[in-house]
Amino acid sequence: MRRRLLLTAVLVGAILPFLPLLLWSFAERWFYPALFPEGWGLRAWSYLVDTAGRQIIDGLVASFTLALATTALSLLLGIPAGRALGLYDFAGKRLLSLLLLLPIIVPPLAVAMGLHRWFLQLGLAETFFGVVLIHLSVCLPYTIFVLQGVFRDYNPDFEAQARSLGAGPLAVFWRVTLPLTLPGIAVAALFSFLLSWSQYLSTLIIGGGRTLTLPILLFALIDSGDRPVAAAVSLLFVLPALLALLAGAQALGRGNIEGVR
Amino acid sequence: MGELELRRLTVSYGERPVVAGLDLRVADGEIVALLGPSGAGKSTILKAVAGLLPASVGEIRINHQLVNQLPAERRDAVLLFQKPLLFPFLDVAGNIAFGLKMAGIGGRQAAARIAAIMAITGLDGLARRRVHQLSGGQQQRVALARGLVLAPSILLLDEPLSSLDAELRQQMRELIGRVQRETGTTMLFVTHDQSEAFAVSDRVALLLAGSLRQTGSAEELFYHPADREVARFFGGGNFIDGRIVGGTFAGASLRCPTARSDCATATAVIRPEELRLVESGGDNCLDGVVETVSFEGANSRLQIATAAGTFTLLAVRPEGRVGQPVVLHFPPERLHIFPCPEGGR
Amino acid sequence: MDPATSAGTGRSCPVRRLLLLLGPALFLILLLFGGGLLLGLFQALGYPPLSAGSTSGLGHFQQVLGDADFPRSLGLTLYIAGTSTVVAALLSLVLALALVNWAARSRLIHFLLQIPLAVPHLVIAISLLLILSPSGLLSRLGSALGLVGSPAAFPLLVNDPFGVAILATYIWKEIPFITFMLLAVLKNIGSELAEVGATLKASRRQRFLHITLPIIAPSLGAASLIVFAYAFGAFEVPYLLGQTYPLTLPVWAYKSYSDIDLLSRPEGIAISLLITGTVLLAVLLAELLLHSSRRREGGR
Repeated sequence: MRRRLLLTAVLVGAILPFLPLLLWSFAERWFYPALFPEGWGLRAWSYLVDTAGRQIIDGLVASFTLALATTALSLLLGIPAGRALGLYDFAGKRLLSLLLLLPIIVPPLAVAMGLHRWFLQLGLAETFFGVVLIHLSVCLPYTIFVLQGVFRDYNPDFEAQARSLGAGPLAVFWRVTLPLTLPGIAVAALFSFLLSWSQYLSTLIIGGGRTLTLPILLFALIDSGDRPVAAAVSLLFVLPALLALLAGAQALGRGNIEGVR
Repeated sequence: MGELELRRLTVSYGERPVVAGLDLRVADGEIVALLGPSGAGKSTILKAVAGLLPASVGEIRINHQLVNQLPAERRDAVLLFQKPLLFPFLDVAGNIAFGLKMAGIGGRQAAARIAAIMAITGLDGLARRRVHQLSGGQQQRVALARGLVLAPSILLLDEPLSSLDAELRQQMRELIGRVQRETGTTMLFVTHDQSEAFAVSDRVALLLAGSLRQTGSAEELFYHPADREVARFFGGGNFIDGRIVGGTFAGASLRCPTARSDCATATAVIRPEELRLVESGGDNCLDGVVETVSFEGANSRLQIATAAGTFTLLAVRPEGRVGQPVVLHFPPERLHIFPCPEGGR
Repeated sequence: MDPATSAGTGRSCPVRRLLLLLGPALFLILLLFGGGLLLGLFQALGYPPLSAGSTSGLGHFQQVLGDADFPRSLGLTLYIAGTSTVVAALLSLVLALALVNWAARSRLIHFLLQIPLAVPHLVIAISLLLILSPSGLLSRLGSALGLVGSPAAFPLLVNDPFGVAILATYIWKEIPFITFMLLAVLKNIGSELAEVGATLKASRRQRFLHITLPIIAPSLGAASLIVFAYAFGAFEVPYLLGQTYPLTLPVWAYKSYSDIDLLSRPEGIAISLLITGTVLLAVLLAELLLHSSRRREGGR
């Protein structure tokens, strides 16, 4: 009984915020004080794909490619670093961990503002790569944080075993290291992707209004006061997160079944 | 003062009973070893006695008081886990003081008890040490002191030595024995290691597959096993099938006197180290051929095939070679006859 | 902060290999994060090659700190970050304790808790705008129940002095984060040590006070610190749901930075550096607190 109550509370708490977004995105007419829309329709959703809304699709693509590029670079740099921090003891490790983790805690505001002028001089401002770099400053420390934990639980003796069975360094990485750490790496990638996906201010400062990602378009839509379209774009904006969660839940479910004695 | 009594105790994990119909009594000041292979349900019994698992059937009595319904914190028994499980946020003295603090005992009285118990367990000078700075043996001693300081009626020990290496285990074994003599604490000690059970305890209770098979002194269990499984558990698997007629066991041309009454399907057992190789045949001898010889250090293990089956022999010195014909002697006074199985008369 | 890092792994690695593994990431983070802060500091100090205006030295900082709005902004930002952190931490503590034996097995609970974790702040802010604004869902519900006559009669919950909608957004977002941090600790060690406590005669309440709380305190502190720092330095939510006066520090910083008057740009940077400084100070304080509490435990 207590359990059911708790589950209901968590369920309602987690789902409730999506209700107004769904209602508004399908509302054609909805004046105060009507509790539900008086007219339903697909205007908001068709706005996303029609010519006037072409920029929404462009924003989706921009956000996606940015997040993908950021995540790829985060993993490329983060996997070795996470391995070093998670697996080995060395002098100054505590200080180094703190240094690498500080960017997670310290707000990115000052960093973006500080870099902006320099990026302007280097010609990196208002470019794709410049925005990737500023996203990296946020995502890479997070990726390292997650991967450090992954490698702390990882036993490198498996690699030694594979080498003694005749596997070369590349084969060891692809056949041993990667499969063993894949769940953790997937989590790190997901974190990095979602973090880059939801960046607003750093994109705005470095992108200078040229890089129109979804959150930047969303802000403009709210200012314009078109609630149905803003609601529809909001839902579009959370879609990757929810898809990733569902995929994760699926994978986790399989893992759980395998993990049962 | 502490006495533990379990009557028809059954403990289930989900639907499945892990331990069924257990009867066991631990007298005041006694150490009883609960011996059994891993998975036999030993830890389950301790957790049930401690109050961390509910007993589905039966009675648990501590000092004659029925405690089935009491929560763990109100039972006068302390459980020592396999891992030390020290509180990481407290130092050594803080860990040992924990139970006293919970009972509202502090100040000079607590300090004196803690100091005394630290002296007994050899922890002098470590009071302010943080627990992750301790060695494995020290950690386990702190765990022991943390339980003993409460002077519980019963101390339950769940394989507390299994995480230690051989030398430390020996020291800890002696420590537990000494502590028991000095404090007179009643202990129920769980282990899968027969030498540990024999060395530490006054009596041994053997648990196989969730039920108690034999309880008695170490010698009784070792030399007079109750049945085949008990004999096998202690490494004595030389069985001879036969019958008992008029006070004599006869089987496979072996004979020995027995006090047991007539039985049509009797079984005798002899330990591998009691078998002898002799020069020439005679009474109670079987001809055989050496099948395997393995040198194990303190002794050598020979498998010898005979017309009555294959027997294992432990010799102090390596003797015999594979394929060699030998004569195997079964000293009749060393043969142990099992009680007649039901329907075997 | 993380007690697990203090325990060694017992493995060593040649320095050259370590450099190879750590070097690239370290270089990039130092360049972007360290470089960004340093360049920002130069600009805020009006270091000539980088400064657009004539003020140099501590002028911009003095200007910001001397501004009559600064204490109000700082107070508002502290209030929002502090309140949302405390409320989220308390609710997470209750939730984690209620879920500890259950969440390990229930995939549904895990999934539900992950939703707020993955959804961007911006979307939740918009949703709460649609719920809490004067013509929002809550007001309409009140009207349907006959409690509210018109949007104007509905209490101000958005762009209000108390930042109700901002607090709600942060609390909703951060509860799962803190809860997961707590569950990770509780699942690993909590139940075993609680059993030890029970056999050492600790009652339920004593087990909570003397075992569970000390175990989760470092994680609870670390999670709260991260949450506080985020709320203290985030822009989107107070920008969307906050009042026009006073502004939170990050909103003020960005407004100054993006002002048409380029001369107010260093001022914006100075404010953002003050935010950074405050957060660093909070981290330092938390570390000191943790150390002194350890020493106190150890010396008793």
